[in-house]
Amino acid sequence: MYEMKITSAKYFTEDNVMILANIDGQEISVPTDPANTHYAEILKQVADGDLTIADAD
Amino acid sequence: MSLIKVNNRGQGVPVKNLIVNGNFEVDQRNSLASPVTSAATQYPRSVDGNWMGVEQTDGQISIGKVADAPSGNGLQSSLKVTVTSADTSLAAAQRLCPTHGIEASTWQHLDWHTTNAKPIAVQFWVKSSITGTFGFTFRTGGSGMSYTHPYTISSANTWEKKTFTVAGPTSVLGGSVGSGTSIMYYIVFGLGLGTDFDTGANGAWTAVGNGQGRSSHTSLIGTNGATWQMTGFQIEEGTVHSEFQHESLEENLKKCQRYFQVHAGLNIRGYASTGFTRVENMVSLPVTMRAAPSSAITVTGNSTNIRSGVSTYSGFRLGNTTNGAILSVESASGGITHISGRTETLSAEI
Repeated sequence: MYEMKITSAKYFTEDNVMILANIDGQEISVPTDPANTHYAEILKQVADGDLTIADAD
Repeated sequence: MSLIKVNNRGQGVPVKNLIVNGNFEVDQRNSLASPVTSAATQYPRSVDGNWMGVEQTDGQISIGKVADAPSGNGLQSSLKVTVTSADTSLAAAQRLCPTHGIEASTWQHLDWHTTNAKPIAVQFWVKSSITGTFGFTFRTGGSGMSYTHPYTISSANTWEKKTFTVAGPTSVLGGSVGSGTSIMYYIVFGLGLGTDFDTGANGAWTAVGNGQGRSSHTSLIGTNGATWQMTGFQIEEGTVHSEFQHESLEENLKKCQRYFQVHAGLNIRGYASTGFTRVENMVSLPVTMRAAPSSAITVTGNSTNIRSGVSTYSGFRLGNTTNGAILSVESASGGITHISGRTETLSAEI
């Protein structure tokens, strides 16, 4: 139903519990909770080969 | 013996309306003042209660709450879609359909997808500048099964009440439905659908790829300036359409905050002896959310001595859970480090 446009995704925290992503033109901090709609879509796009989550600095 | 009349404010009676914010009173995004357009995203979120616009056409819309409702029943607000740029010829994969997500846990007592599946009674008020036949559709969370009930708008710019019942599905014919806190169904109000989204049937649960209504129905997006409004949206177990259940604004807000919250006036301050030093504080959420929420900055506010990237190194960035979020600020160098007047949103919407 919801096909988000995700242009970037990067782990932000040292323990990888949050991802900073650009979703539909907005910077959004996304928790790595599979029940979170944004994270579920990030995982889907990674599985499809359309997105890579960059490592934290 | 005396009779006690129970009012319709939900006081002392079980909650019967399965729709959150069916009167569109709660408006945490303040769409009443600033309706959201589909210019930036094809999925504009404006009103509370797991609603999104879903506009994938060559046209554009605005969507939000308005202070307009049918009189005589306590309703004061409605959801309004306005076509700001028309698309008179929809391609197969194009659509305009305000959509409401249903969390599985709120419908599990209906025993859907079993032989004991209970029926539901649906009611809503609708008004449009365009007359014709429109569709109300259920679609499984994972596409594969749908149900469309057509309804007719007979008079332009006139509130009309629609009521009908839907037999609960006794099995999943296709696609998937979630359980617990995940998506069970989408409810789709079709306002212009390409043939890819045609359910192929009226009044029957059907196995279909991505059915969201009937492509032959009236296309609101085909007319520039056209409007569609809806309110008093109630779905209850059974086949009886009872009076709309008004709730206090407080109760309604709590239900909405399970999915979306606005946190204004965030402040955090500390003294750093050197750069890249962090101050953290856990903020308790007023309502436990459906899932750990995503956070986004809507008002940056004031700041001092923040490590590069205000949106990255301050605010709700370190960890969100269903009942709390870590508010932090990280210094660029030694000295006072702070943010104030920050507004962020938390979303666990479906």
